[in-house]
Amino acid sequence: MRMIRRYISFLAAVALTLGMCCAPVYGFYYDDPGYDDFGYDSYDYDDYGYDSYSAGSYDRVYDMYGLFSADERSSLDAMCRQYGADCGLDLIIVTAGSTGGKSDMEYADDFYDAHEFGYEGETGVLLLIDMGERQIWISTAGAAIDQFTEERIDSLVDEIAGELADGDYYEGCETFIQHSCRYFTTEVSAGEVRRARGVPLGMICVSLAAAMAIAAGVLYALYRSYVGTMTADHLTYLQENTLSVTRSGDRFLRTTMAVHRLDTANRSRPGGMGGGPGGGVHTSGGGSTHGGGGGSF
Amino acid sequence: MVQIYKCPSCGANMTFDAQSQQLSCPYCGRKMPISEYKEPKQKEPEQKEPEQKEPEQPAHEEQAASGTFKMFHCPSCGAELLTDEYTTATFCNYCGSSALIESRLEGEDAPELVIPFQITKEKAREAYLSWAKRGLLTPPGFVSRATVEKISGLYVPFWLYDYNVQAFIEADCTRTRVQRTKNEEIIYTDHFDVQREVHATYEKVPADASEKMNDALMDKLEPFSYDKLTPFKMEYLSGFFAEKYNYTSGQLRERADARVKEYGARLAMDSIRGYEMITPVREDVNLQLTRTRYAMLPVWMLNYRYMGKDYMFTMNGQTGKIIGEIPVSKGKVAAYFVLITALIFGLAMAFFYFFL
Repeated sequence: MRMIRRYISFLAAVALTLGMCCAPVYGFYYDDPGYDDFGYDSYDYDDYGYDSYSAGSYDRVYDMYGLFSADERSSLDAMCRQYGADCGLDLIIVTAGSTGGKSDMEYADDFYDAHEFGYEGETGVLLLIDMGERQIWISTAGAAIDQFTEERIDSLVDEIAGELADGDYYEGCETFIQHSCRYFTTEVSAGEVRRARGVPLGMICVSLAAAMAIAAGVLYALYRSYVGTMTADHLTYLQENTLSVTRSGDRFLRTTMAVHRLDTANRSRPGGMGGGPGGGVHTSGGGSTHGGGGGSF
Repeated sequence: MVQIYKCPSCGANMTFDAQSQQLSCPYCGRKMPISEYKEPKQKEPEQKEPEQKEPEQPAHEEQAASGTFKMFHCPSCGAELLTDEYTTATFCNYCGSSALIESRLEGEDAPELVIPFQITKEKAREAYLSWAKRGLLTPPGFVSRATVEKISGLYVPFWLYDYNVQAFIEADCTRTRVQRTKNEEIIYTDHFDVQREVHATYEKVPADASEKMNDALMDKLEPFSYDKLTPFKMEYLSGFFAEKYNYTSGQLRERADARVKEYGARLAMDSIRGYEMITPVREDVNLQLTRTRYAMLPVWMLNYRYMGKDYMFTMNGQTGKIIGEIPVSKGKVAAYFVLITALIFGLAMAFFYFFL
């Protein structure tokens, strides 16, 4: 009877431990439902007139590449202010032909910091359309970092890039504005995880393999401690002070060379965290923290 | 012929006591150092002497006749002692006296050295019980259900070999240095041909001369501490089983040679310092055997049965090192494996989740 109870409590402990470590694993792979579930109703804007709530008189659209006409520019600008005021998120759009040697991430972050965008200090999202590389980058700051999870950024990038690829630059920016607001104002559910905390599948496999190897090693050591091991070695029966080196010779033969080129572009940024080419949460050269992700079109 | 040590005070059978390292009488408690033991004077009438001489001759003939078991008689009670060809110390089945077969322990067959038992029988039994009780990997109920047969102390015959060793090694060795410029990293690898020769002396490398005792097991019981090695006296064997060597020193020589050759090669390899990678090209070890000695080394042994299978527990009678066999419960191993894996994996995931 006692034996059975011991076994049951033992198995319960095992099940509990397994359950504990399954929860975070499951959480990493919860799929984002997509913006369709959020409902279309609240953000139906037909007129893009200025709003009394648009705090701050700086531009929201920086069309350095010249993608848009003057009318389009002012429309987008107004939209950014309107939506931005409503959901408390500073929305910025930047187009450029080249980023002058910087990566898109650097350029977007620096641009954002330099202009000191952001509601309540920093909260905002910047869309950079790099026409030279045909890539976009979304940079988040402040409260937007947490709200824009890896999955959400990926979705947003896909949605925008889809339109840009078709040449619908205006529509792409609209999508950016509308969906950013939606993502920002929707609760991050328990299943979703901020990008910086995601654990790549590779690490999970490695951890599991390492855990199994350690367990096997521990059990083997335990068995050997029971059964006993051979301890006599090459020094056991060696008489003290009888060991001497009687002949010794080191003759130089040749030298071989191996040359590695150092790639400066691949060096990691200081203070960088998180995995993957997307960038995750990082500290920009100016010292401020940004989140973000990007893709090509 | 067959020697039994009698207590001068009460006449009972004296045995060697590991605790006091003396001959001790279990009945009256008298203890005496081995060197003091003297044969009690025989009050027998002279007619018996010719009788005593006769059994000695068959004892020597026994060597020529192969496969015959010599019959001995217990000097205490006269019963027949059951022995095989190699037994040198045993117990009388009837009166329990510890009987030593002198003729197999003298002359050419006399051991040179012995390490007396340092661990008493009680300590050995306790060690066995606490070892068996640990129960981490053994099936539940193992301790209660395993039948403990008698724990016996026995002296195992060993040949101890002394060598002079010359070991030579030639190896390809490399060292690297790194040079960094703005765009490049250059790694230079220097290759050397390295030679070393070392001389060393090895003493008392043991090889067990008993066919019955498993060689690998005996090896694992090493090392014995030779500072307790003392010139052989038959008195040490009283109270224990003992065996004569099954193999001569010549027959075991190959095994000892192989062992010491490996040791020599290792010494030569270890003498190479200061390189990152060492690849041996040539190894040559020469041995000169300088001495062989015949020694009796103490072992506590216990055979037990669990679920119809036999297992052995052995303990170095001097150092107390335990080498044993246990039945392993597959269920327990599997459960522990899963538990430890889950624990470490869970910790790793928690670490990633909260700190990265």
